[in-house]
Amino acid sequence: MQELFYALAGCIFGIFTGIAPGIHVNTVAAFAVLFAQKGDMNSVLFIVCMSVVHTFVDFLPSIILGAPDAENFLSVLPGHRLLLKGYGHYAVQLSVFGGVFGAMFSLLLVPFYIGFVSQYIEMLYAGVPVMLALVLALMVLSEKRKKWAIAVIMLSSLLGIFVLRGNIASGNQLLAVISGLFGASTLLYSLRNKPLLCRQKICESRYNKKEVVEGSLLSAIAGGFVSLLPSLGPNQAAFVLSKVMGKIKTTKYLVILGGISTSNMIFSFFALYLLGKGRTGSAVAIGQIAVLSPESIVLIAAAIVFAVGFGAVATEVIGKWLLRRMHKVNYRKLSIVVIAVLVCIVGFLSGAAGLAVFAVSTAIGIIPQVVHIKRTSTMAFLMAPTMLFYLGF
Amino acid sequence: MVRLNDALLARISLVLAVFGVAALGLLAEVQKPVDADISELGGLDIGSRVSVKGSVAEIFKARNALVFTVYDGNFVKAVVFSPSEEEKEIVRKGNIVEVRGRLQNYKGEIEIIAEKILGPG
Repeated sequence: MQELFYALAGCIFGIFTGIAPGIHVNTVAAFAVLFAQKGDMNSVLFIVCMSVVHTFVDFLPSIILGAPDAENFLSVLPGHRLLLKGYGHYAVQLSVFGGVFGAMFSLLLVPFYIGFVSQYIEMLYAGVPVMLALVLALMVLSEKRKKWAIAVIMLSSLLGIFVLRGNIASGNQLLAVISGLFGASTLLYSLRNKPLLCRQKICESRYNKKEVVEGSLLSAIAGGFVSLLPSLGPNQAAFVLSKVMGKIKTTKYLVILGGISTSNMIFSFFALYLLGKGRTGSAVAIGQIAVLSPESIVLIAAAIVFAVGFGAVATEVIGKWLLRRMHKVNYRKLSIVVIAVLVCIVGFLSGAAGLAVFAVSTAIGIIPQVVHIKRTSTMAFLMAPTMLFYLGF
Repeated sequence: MVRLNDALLARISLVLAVFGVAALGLLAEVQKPVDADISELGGLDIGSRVSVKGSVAEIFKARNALVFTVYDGNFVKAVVFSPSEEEKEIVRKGNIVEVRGRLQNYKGEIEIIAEKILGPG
């Protein structure tokens, strides 16, 4: 019964971290570690459910609240594109389908995942520097403004090396970097834009079943793969998939995006169990609380199923509610409040040095949005230190 | 009110990012811990960042903290608050460890408030 309470509390927090722009699930997971007793499975279930629900609800602010203005229409994400045509609800549902079916395929693929990890993990690790270098090269080559892409990758790499491998004082510096690169920078830049409002069509939509099944299966495989590779996340996986598979329809791409985030999160818990290493912030937090046993991983799998159902229903209900009222949300005020909250959290958990790191990360995070290059290039902040580590430096 | 155009904003962000990253590089260099033998710690300022290597001699029980002594011919006490499972795994009696952290004077005795613990290899 107590487990159910913690799982439910995790689901509710997952809605909060997913919907509040700039508040990352890793931030709450880091807080949960501070208050958790060592070995406490209830706290583990809390983090698992929060993280899984987060991967569903997370799409709402990016699709709904981040509505761009007409000036940057061409650079908007696939979800925004549908929103601007009045099909925001359709975009939300596609990402939810991706999440649900992606999770289902992920759980079915777990036996293969365990087999793969036990056979090929060493070989995979040996190839990490080359794979990361290839992803970085692909990122630059895919951009029209290559010089800006190179500048952002170099700055992010140096930031990562100085902060994560250097000697900058104690505290959670990773939190400061992530909050700056992806949180504050987005919010600050969005303050310049006047949201483009459009009446949304909320009704039963038609779906291409083949597209949903194919997209979800692909996302589960890609999510499993990146869960083993340090410093690569769902965005890089979706980016590589789109390059490998050629042109993907917007609808299928949304299914894949929804599926990869959930699958990656799910597999990261199994990776923690198999390898003892966390590849997502949530898995790292769980690793700091408990060492997973076969019994606890079964409990985690049950919690995942619960959270997937909760996340899907919550995203659909909240998505509809927000889409009907999006014109009433004062995004500007909300953004300012969230920026203030982020500054307080970083100051509390990362100290004065963390605030400096946060400011620099914010400046770097603004550049890709202004010059219209992919924001995944800033992930070089994790990729560069990882490459150095695997090269033996 | 002047509205920044994208080109200007990109340049401002780039300049801030370049100077910011350079400053962080400098900060990382300044805050680099001093490699020291335990016998040398008494001569260093309280609050300075140090790195000592030695074997784990004794482990004490404490609430929400891991307290242990490091031995390299001399002893020093090290404290890790809210230790992770990985850190607990590293800090085992007899293991060779590298402790990086700040020097603190606690009840007249020098100890290290550990920020990072590296295990053997």
